[in-house]
Amino acid sequence: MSPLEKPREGTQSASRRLIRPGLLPTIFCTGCGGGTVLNCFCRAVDELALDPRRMVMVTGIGCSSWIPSPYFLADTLHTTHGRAIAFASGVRVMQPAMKVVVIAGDGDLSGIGGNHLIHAARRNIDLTVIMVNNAIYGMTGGQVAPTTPEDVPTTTTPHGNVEPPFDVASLVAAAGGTFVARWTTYHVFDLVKAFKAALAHKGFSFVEVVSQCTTSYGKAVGMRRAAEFLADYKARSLRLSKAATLSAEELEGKITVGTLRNVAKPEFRERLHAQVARVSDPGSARQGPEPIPPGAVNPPGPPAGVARGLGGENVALRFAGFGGQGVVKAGEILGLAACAEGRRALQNQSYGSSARGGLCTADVTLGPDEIFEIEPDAFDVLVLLSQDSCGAFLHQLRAGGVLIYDRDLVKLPEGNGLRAHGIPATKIAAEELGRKVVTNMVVLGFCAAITEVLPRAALERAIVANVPKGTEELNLRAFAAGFAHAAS
Amino acid sequence: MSARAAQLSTLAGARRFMLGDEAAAFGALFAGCSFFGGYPITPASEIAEAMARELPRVGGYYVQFEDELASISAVIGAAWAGARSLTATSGPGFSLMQESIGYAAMTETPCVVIDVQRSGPCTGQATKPAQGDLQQARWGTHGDHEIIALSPWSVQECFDLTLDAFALAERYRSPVILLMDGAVGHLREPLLFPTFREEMLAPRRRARPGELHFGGEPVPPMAQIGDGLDVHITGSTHRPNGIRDVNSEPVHDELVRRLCAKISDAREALTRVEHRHLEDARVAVVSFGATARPALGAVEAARRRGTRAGFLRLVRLWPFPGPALARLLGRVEKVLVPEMNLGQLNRELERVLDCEVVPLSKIGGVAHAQEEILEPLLEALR
Ligand code: SF4
Repeated sequence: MSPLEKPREGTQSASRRLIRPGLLPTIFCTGCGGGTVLNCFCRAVDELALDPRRMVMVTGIGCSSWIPSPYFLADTLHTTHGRAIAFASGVRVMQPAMKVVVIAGDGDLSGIGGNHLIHAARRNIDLTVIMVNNAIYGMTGGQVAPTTPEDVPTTTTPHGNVEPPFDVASLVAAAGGTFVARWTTYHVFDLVKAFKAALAHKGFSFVEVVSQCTTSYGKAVGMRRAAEFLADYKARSLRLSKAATLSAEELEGKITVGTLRNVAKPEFRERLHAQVARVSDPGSARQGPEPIPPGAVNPPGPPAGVARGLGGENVALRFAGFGGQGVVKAGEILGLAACAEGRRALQNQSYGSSARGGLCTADVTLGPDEIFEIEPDAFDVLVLLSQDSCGAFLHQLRAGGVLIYDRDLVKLPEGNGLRAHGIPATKIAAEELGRKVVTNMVVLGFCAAITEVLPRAALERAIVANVPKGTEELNLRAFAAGFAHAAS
Repeated sequence: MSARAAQLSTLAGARRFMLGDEAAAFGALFAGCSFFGGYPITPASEIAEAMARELPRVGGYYVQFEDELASISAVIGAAWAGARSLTATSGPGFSLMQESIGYAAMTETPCVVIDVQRSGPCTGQATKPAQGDLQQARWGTHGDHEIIALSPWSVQECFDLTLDAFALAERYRSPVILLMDGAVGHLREPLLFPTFREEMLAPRRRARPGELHFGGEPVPPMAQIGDGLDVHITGSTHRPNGIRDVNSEPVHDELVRRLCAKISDAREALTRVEHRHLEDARVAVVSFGATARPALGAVEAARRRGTRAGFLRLVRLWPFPGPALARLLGRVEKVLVPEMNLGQLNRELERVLDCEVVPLSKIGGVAHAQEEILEPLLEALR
């Protein structure tokens, strides 16, 4: 047993009880602030009488992450650089009964992991985050950090740092952290108090500890002993209440210490769990969208009749137009109806990045046979709802195939010799039904009547199952109007 | 009855017409998924949307994070806290996740990552399908490691292989990649739901006090956060008890070799390929994912013309089923390899087969048409 492991009275024995056996002495350099943070943290845990078995320590990469990992005797999750808060968030959601604590450095939390820090603060997720701010990348030998003061020469700012440092505590407070405090390793009693308050706080709690890196930062600023740092912290520290009375110039070079924010706000994990409890309660009324709608109720049967003159093989259809015409919806309903009829069916769609206005297609292939082509390039039935789509796809109509088009929107080339069926679908939707949005159903009804690709009743059931609640009747009327138009 | 059983029992035996992406989400629900962390990306967003809607209904937690780095990290954290956890993304997000996928491999975290591949590199053709992440799935994270990756070719398989992925993640204590492609993710087909039974969920082998949980056997039992075992989990090199030890050559050597061997030694057990007409085939078409469908269509068409064409597709991509392929394709003269990339599967096949291997690569965002495979196939059979 090393001399350090001898049990002692008071706080030391409290620390000892909370330290993983067999690992001391720690690997920190002589005089490093990491040991002070560990001691103060252990004391806070001890004074709160927290059960370390109900705590999990999550850390990133860097000297400060080694403070609890592996030394603190609890579950410890030592993660990748910058991601400790994200890992901890997953743990927090799944382990509501445990205290989840992140201890990591300034580079880890505010540099590479800065995005997670601000978003966790915004969510107000119940984590306690202790940021040990030694103003440098210590473990890697003293490179400049987002917290390094201006002009300090580091190994990567040999001519002096030309960037201003982050005030991370203020950042977290502004982002929504509900308990935010800053102290230094000189203020050990205040630190213990702040740790206790943070651990007891419900919501995102954050304690910045300005701490000495005697090796790497010491080298940069010419201070090698802890005592020099502590004296400096003491001289430069200023209580927040005092700081409030001073001008920006007077605050230059000072370390403001105290509690920046302490408010009660709804906590993320609790809200999420409450929502899940409500949504998953079988007794509660359903909120939000229904599950995937069922197909029609009739059992799978033999393949229904297929389009006139198209034989008994697979049928490929393409609906094409511009975004917003409901082309994909029409394809979906056709596929759904086929599926409910026991046919093999595949439906595919394509559209540009913008959901509205661009060229848009929905392809449906109906069995009976295995469907190999995911993106067919020749069609038995082509439905064109825009001039652009006519230009783009007319050549993909198979010889002998059926062409259906909106008479007002598409002008077919002269003398095309096609089996073409025109319908003023958009006009019917707008004028007869009063809603342009049901153009797709008018077209679908017309297509169903012309091609007999699926039984009318199957399509109607699919419409009822698939369109938004309350619009079934309108959509069915549109379908019927299109169907009737084929007979006229 | 649990909320999950209550919700999913209503789907027993049901047929639905749904997107591949949605089918994968439902597969995760049936697999017991209890945590989803994600970030929106085309063409995988429909998985997140379906999970956001359905996961709370079965008592699970959906969280949309600030980016993919956070998503995969939270997924791993949740797994250690007891979740069956999932994220879903596409190429660019998959690239961002690679470091933490390495963490999951190193810490032996069971979790599932779905990559619905789209056309790259970089932003490429964001809305168009591709299969360019085959090698990224294998080698995306740094350092020696093995991975398990599966590749569905239909909506039904998006469901089935997601179930499979969760089971393999537990069985091998490893991240498992479901390598979908935009073509399969965004098509709708009928899906037949099985009957959900709580007993079907893949068990997680848990460590007892004093038991090694980071070594001592190929796949050690897992000590979770909250089990009271003071587990120490680190992506650094660690001893079989989990404690970091980054300076010892034997400790690192033993750890990394074990991590690789637990998967590569199970190569035969992990092999899943599907084939037709290979008995007398002279030329075989070998493919995976969406591309395997027109490939099979071409082979059937060639057969109807009296030729000796054969077909094989890889259902599981990694670990690469080299020995099985060498056996099954040992007698063919030539292999054609249609894929939506510039030869990533082709390269592996060249490595394990003695016969001529010919790429039929296609990029640009449009899946192969059957004709595009049939023509060179008939040519090769001439
Ligand atoms: S390098 Fe600096 S921060 Fe790291 S252990 Fe040494 S003194 Fe502490």
